[in-house]
Amino acid sequence: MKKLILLLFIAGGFFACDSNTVEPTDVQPSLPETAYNYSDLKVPTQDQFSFQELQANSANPKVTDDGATLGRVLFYDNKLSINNKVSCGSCHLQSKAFADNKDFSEGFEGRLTERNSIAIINPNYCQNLFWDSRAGSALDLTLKPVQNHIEMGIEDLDFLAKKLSKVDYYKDLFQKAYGSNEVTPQKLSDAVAQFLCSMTTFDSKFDRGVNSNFSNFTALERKGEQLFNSSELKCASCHSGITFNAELNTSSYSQPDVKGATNIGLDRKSKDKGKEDGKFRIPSLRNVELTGPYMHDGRLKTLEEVIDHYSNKIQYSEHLDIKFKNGNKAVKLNISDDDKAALVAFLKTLTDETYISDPKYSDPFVK
Amino acid sequence: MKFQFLSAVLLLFVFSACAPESTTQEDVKLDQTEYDYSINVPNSAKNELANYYSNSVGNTNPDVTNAGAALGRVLFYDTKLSINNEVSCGTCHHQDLAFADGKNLTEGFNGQLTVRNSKAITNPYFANNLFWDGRASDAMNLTLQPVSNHIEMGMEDMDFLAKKLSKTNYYTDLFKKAYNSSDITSEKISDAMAQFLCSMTTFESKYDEGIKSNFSNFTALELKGKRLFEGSKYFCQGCHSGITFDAENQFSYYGGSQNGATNIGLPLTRDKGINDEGRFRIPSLRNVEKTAPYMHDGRFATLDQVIDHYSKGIEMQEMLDPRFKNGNQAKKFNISDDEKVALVAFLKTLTDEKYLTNPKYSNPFL
Repeated sequence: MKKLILLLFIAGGFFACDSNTVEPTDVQPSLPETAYNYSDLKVPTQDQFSFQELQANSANPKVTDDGATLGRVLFYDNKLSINNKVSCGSCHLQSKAFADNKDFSEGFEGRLTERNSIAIINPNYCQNLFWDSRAGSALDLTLKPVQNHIEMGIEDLDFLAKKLSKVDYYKDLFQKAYGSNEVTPQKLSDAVAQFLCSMTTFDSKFDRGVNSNFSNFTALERKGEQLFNSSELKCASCHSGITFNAELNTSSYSQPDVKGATNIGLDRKSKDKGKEDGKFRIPSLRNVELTGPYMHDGRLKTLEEVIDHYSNKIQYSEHLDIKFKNGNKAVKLNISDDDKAALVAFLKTLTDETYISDPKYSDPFVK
Repeated sequence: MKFQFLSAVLLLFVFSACAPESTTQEDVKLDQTEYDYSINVPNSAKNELANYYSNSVGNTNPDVTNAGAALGRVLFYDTKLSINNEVSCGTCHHQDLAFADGKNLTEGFNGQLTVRNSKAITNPYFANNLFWDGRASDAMNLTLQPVSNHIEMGMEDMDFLAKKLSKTNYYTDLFKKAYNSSDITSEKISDAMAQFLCSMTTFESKYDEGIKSNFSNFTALELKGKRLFEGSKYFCQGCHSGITFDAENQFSYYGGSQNGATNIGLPLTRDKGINDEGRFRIPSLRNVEKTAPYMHDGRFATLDQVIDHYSKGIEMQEMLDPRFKNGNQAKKFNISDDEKVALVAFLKTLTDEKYLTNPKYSNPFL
């Protein structure tokens, strides 16, 4: 009899370890009955400041409501990490325009990443993703953090696909998005990319100003905007156009062979070489008020410190962007305190309140 | 008998006077000063223009030599390049007006009017879209076109021109110095003129001084004008960009205008511009104070009128530059009077007095 009870316990043990079950706290995503509208991208058709049509990166998939819905769930689902502790949303917080206010982020095992978490700003219109521009499109980017051994730790995407196949809420989501509930790495990548591409932010005080001759700006903001565009400071030559970065081909005059990334003299000799030679991706300045700390390693904590860097702390090196060179020295812009205040006021006009609160980009796993 | 002999001698004289080998009537005096024509870009412009030339695809401009440019200068001002010896390049390009000529349209060799306003000559070395319709891709490509134009200078046959100049004594020496041979060909004529054009740089205005000193040399009004020019509200620098103040330099801020040309909503007359799309080349604003009247047909006599056009006069057209559109209507910038005054003050800081008086670009025929 004792042996039978023991056998029963052992059998029970096996049942408990049935690979068909998931973690005890199996939170369901809370999704609307009718999918949110993700496919209407709400972008201006034209970059107002350059003769460029705002064109989605052709490598990216077309955004569908159901595809982006699935992508949203995946984005916030901890199951995409090896120990179910980290999702994309862990280091990309909507309230911070999808940055995370830390110098470096903690990965699934508590180890720190090597670079600052970048905000997610209009990735569908980018060809330089990650600080070192190694991803040429949102699609190219999507599963790389998942596979990263510090960030999310799932190196084997087939394993991930199998894991998610056993999660019941994905059956319906995949069916709706792809007409079948089969989970494959390609579909995972595609769905997350659709969600990323749906994330557009063009609704700030600045955008309202564009359409009203900036009559909505305070005098200080207007002064800041003029300084930003001025030939002395040339901020707009890298942070250009309606996207405030250097993604559009002719909108910046960095060295022509280095699109979208440059060396701004953070170090005389770069430990982190970035794309190459200490050149890092030029991030968009939209929502910059929310996305500190700044630079690839988060070394500059406030916008004032950023402006101080450009003002008189640029370090000369061979690879310094030519715009910052003055012979063999670094340029000193010597920005006054008044001008600094104006510039910061202007940068704050780039905050898009709807972006950071729009439910369609929010975490569906939170009650 | 004496009379017959004398008349024979007289006739002989007459014939020899008309001998084909002789040159034209006067004994021409030319400025013989040797100038340095090397292309000299100031440091303030160097960074921005650093990548320009080496990256300009298909540029056929010759290297500039002092002797080549000196010859080009003579050719530029020599009326012999026109069929009736009355018109030279310099006839419609006056140095004191930054090489424009103050007229709406100009009279060619036969008194007929040209179809477009004479353009100022502004840093053509750094341009790939010359003429109002951008049809010349570099200075070399441009040089002989006005010479052969049937309204402007009427010299359609370049070989005829080469022969004509071969009989002009002062060219023997000039060509020898420039090309090691006094043999004159149309290619060399073009080459020498292109060298002269390429040597014509203008980067020494109050604005350029300002670059070196954070614009501490600017008045408050000029600074205000500069900010308005650069700021997002009017964004003049969107077309008139960078150190060249045009859209030639693909590496200037927003040189993404299509081949340096665009449609700014001018009510169109007979001249419909590139591909009849109402698009015209974006000219540099350097020295603009001197180069009235403005636009391809000189329709605006003053800078005030130009600004009025942008302020309220833009006409909605199919190919209107999208930056001037507001939905399906033309944008109204509604520039205030105060702002207009400031903008004009700023534009005047682009005048380079040295360029307007530099003897090396002046008429050498004394």
